[in-house]
Amino acid sequence: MTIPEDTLMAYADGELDPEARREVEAAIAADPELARRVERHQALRRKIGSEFDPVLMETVPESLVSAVHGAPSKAAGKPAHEATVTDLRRVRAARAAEAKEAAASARRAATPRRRWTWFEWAAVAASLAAGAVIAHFVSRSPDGAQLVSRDGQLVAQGDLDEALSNRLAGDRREDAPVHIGVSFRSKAGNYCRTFVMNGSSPMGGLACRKNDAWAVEVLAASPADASAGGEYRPATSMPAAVAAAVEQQIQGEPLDTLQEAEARADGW
Amino acid sequence: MSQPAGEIREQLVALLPRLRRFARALSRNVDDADDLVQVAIERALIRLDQWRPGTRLDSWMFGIVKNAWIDEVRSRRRRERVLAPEEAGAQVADAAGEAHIERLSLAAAIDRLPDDQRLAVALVLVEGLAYKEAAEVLEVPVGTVTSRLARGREALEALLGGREGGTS
Repeated sequence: MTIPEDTLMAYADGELDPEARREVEAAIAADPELARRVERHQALRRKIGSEFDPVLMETVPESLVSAVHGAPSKAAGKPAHEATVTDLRRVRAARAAEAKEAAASARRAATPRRRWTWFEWAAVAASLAAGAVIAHFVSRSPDGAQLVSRDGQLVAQGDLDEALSNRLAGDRREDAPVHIGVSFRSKAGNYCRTFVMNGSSPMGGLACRKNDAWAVEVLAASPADASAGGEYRPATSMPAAVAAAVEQQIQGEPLDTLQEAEARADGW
Repeated sequence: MSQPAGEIREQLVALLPRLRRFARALSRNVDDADDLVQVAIERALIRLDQWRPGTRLDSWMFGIVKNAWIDEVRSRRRRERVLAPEEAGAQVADAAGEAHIERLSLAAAIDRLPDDQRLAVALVLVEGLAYKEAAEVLEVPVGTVTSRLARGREALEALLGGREGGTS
């Protein structure tokens, strides 16, 4: 039985009705040469069909999505063959400018509100402190202690008190015993600041201004850093306890340098 | 009665990957292909009232891309006063009859096809349209689609692997 090549192609493309399909299949079963020709068509179809699949996986350029949402262009009304040359040249010329703008706006859009800078994250230490670690900083003798217990509250002293009262977050003296992170207004209406105390057991925490002193609300140990050797290494993630406290208490955005300077001048 | 424009635009966004694939099958250069899609979108938005809801939006869009491509190809030929001999040869209607056998990549081979064969191959074999759907996009009878498709396939077989003493 002679089957035209077109019919074999149509069979390979799934275009035959059930009856015609059965006839072809019967012929194929009886004739290996027919089977080979059909397989060639099917193989080519598979090859062509998959050749451009990677394009489907590509990220669609933003310019095309914008074009869908955009207003109809002013090239309306021109005859198609005239419009094309102008359209394509205009489109190509616009693409370079659009790409620049798209990159810039993507950078703007990607910045979330209240994004913590490296320094802010670095300035606050990691995991929860055990009582023993706190005790390290709390001394019965006022001399040299950073913290003291007063009326059931941990209060900053010495270097810590000096840093909280006077240091601006932008002062980045690497060898200083205390680093200040963010400053902000709390919902209770007072100023709070995050800090890190350096040393062999670095500690980080949150202190808020109360009764002319810095009350330490949260204190946590810095994570042990692999490259240690006593050198200060910024933590790469905010410890849950301090982050939670900041999020809970912050009113609005952290203070910028100018606002910090003003707060310092006011005595917090 | 008609679909809100917003819904149609969402459907168009969903079609973008397929439109890009179709354009890439017609025009190998990535930027040219995307420019083609952009022109097609702009034209579609102008003519949105011409699309009949309930009919296939993808077929309609393929048709717009096809026309934009044909326009670009024609205007490119007008701009090019002199065709290099190889390019002239590629436009020969019967690529399968080429004397020399050359192994090409599939994309390069498709690029060698005459326009009407390339369109038939792109619609049916790349985009998977049925003959009848492709015929509507191309605005030709189904028989024309199948014969262009057959010639295109033969040409591709020849360009991809050379003839081994040839069948039909």
